[in-house]
Amino acid sequence: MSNKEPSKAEVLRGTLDLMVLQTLAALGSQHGYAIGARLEQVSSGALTLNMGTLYPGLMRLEQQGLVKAEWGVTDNNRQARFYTITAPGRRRLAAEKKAWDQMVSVMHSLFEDPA
Amino acid sequence: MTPPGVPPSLREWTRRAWGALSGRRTDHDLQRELAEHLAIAEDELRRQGRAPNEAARLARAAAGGRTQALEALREQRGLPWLGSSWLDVRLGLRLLVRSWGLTLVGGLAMSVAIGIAAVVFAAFDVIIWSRLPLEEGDRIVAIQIWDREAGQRRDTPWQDIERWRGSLQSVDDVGAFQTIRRNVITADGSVELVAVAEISAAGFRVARVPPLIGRGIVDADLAPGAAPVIVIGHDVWQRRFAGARDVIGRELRLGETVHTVVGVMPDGFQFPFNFRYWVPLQPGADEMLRNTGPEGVVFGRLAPDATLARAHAEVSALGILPSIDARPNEEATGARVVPYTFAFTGDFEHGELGLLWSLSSLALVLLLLPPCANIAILNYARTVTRQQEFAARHALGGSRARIVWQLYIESLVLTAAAAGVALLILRVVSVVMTGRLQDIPGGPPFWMTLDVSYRTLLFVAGLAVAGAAVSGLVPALQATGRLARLGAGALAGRTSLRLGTTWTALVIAQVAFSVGVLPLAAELAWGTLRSGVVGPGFAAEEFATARVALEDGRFAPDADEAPRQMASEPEGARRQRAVLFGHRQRELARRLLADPGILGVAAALRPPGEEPWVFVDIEGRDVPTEVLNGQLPGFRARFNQVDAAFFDIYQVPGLAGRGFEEGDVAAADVVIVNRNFADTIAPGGNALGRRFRYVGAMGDEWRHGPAADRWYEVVGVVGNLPVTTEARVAYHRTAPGQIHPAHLQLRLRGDPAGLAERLRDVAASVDPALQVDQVRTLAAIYREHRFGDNLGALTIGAVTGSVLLLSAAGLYALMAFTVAQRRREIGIRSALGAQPGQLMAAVFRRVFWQIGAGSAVGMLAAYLVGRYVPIEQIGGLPIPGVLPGAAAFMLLVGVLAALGPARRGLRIDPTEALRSE
Repeated sequence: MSNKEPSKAEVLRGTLDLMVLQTLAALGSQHGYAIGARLEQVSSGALTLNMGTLYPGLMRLEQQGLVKAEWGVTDNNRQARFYTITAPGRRRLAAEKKAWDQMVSVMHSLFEDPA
Repeated sequence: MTPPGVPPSLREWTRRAWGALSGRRTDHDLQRELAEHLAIAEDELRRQGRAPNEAARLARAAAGGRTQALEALREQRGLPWLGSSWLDVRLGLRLLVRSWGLTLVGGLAMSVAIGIAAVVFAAFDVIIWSRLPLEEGDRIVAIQIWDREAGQRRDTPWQDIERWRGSLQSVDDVGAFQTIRRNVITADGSVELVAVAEISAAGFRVARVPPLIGRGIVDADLAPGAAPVIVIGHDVWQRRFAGARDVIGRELRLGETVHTVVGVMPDGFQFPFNFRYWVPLQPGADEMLRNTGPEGVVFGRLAPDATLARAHAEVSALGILPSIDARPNEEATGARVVPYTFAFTGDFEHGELGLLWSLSSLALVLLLLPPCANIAILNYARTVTRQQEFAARHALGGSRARIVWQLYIESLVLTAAAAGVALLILRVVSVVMTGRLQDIPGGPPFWMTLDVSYRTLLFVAGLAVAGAAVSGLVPALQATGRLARLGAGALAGRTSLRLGTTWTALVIAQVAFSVGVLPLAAELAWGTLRSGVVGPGFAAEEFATARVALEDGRFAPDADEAPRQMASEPEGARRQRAVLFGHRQRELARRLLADPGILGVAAALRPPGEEPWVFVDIEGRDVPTEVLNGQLPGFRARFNQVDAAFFDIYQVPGLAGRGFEEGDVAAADVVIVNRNFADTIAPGGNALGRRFRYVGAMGDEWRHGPAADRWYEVVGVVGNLPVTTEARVAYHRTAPGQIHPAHLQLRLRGDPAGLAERLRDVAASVDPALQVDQVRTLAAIYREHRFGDNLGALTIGAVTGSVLLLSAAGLYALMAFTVAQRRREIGIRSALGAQPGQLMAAVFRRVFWQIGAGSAVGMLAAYLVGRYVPIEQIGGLPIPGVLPGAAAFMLLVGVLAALGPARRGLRIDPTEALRSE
């Protein structure tokens, strides 16, 4: 267990930022729970994020200036911290998306044409 | 985004550092966000039809541990080590108080080492890095004639300066200044001797400082036959003209010339050195500019697009004209361009100074090694007592790096405190030096301030960080390395730490150093103290000396400069001046003797105690035994040139032979020596009729003294002057006018206050061109001499004291360590009935062995040092039996240091000692 956790966290750290930025770019301003739920939903339950992974990730993005956050009220009248993607965040997302697409295309070609 | 292994961005680090220091997102804020997360999750589950209890449980399960999440957030919020380092700092401060012995000993040694390093660094800093506080001051340059072979500046012919002015493209406004001294004589007859800058009109353009009132020197002022004008400084304007707005056009008399004031410069303006008076420089076409720093410099300003390198290349390519006086290394002599401030730093190749500075900085860093090594070992010994603490932290997951960091911070707290003390030392030294620099006529150059610069602060901070690295990191790595291997064993209190051979060698070296240096330090201190307590040996405040010179158009900062100048004058003019000066001197003496406060007047080359040092070869005596390493050419002695009244003034008794007679001036091969000299010439016998000759000088003053190629016959022996009891002195007869400048020797009645003013007034009444300065009582001269001795003794005392303390601490730690290691053995032997004396002898053996070995090495070193460096010659006084005394003292220190741990050892309860294993 203890061996598995860090490796998952590491993999996540690489892609979590991208997923969070994409979520915020697609859905607009969201609080932490909604972001986690959205990622769980699109992965059909494969990706469940606990608070210890999600919130440090959000704080890191905030420290890098890629998202900004402020306290607000949810539809159910709960207090929550709402995260919004910033202009540098959008630029970073676009760049990373492009790199990701290239990588997928390379891997795809590699797997399809083993000869 | 941030892939694994890639360091976070600078921005993130900045935010994290800010987060660590500011606490921008509080714990409360973080907790609130997590709590709201759980609440929203619960709401969602309830909305899906879960019972409240189940919803809460499922929400918690999905969200994961709240405490861990909070911890992860905290870690991301700041720099984890930065936050906890505050704790380490606080722990370090507590340790400073708790281990006060280590703090005192290590801190003192460290403060002394960093203090000395800081003082030397700051001195270099002031000399090398001072910038001209003028507009684009770093573009002001000096052009010098430079003898590469001898590494010396040479005087600059005016034709060269004119050529540079006319043809250089890369240097604008080429000009020059030279320093002259003049009596400023006011209408009421009061006289002040001041330094005056004779300066080209270009000087005011180069400085780019507009006058406060009127104008600066302009080209028209330099024309032959132009009316004499003067520009004055702000403080002169305030003091002499009471700040009058209509000062322009008023007159100021300098020596024999009356100048018209044409301008007042703003407060603080002292370009080109430290001047308050500026007059036009009107050179004769065939003259030379003394090119030696404060006396004269050729300056200019780099053209707008020029660089120093380009200017230098242009000046080198232009070459120099053949000199009127043949230069010693004509082919190795050329012109060079250097930064302006560099023109005052001495004879260096450009770039050499930087190298010297780098090497010195390195040497200063090495100064830190001994205290660092000691503190390192003391730190290492201290980790023994903290073994369990570290083992516990290790077991709880504290990484080795984390523990090493903690130990480093603890050391840093100590070295930082020492750096603070070192800065205090630096501050004290700079205040003292500032006070002494005020004694320099006109003060230090205007661009030099003795404030502690940011470079010095960085250097000191760097020393603290580096010192902590050596004294903290090394033992920390060593101790924790063992910790990692020991694991749980360390937790159980077992220790395998050892103090190795390095430690033994260090303690022995320190004891040796203490024993070797203690006698020297004690004798130096005694030499300084005795002259302070006993004083110069006679009523030194009843005697005064003053330098007298005739205005000759050129500043002579040292007595030896002016004669050289006179020597370069044509022979006839020189003789004429000597006759004139002789007349003036006699008249001055006559008028001074009319003053009821002056009992006697004599003249000499130098005041007693400041006579030039020389080496002499005595006929019929073998090679001196005191020759240092076989390098000295002869006996050390001093010489003076005195007139007939000299011995009467100082009431020196004649012991043998005769005094000076009228004919002695011409027949200049007769000499009178003091008793010390006579005792050397003929130990226990008669020195009269014996001969000696001068074979060398220390310094270059001697060239103006007696000739080197002839034998001098001793015709008389006088008693030692009280102030030169330790030196051999030879006196040659002189007459007024023969030496220039001369030092008047005055015997006073009553208070010497106001003497300088009185002397200047009387001198100016004899001749406005007769200048008097360096008016000091003999008591003041000895105070000046003692200042250097005191500073030296203080430094040696501080270094010796800190080494002594380090040795004592080392022996203490060694003893404590031995007792701790042998607890079990002591316990068993004690239980078996061994006597305390036997037990302690076993423990003390090692301490005694180390003190003994150290003392032996130290005594040998002290013996050798004493044999080759006679203590009297460096200002000390021998103390009989000081060497064995030092060894005994070291033994006492060692025993006292070892006593505490030894007594603890004796009190070990056998049962407890056995149980602890």
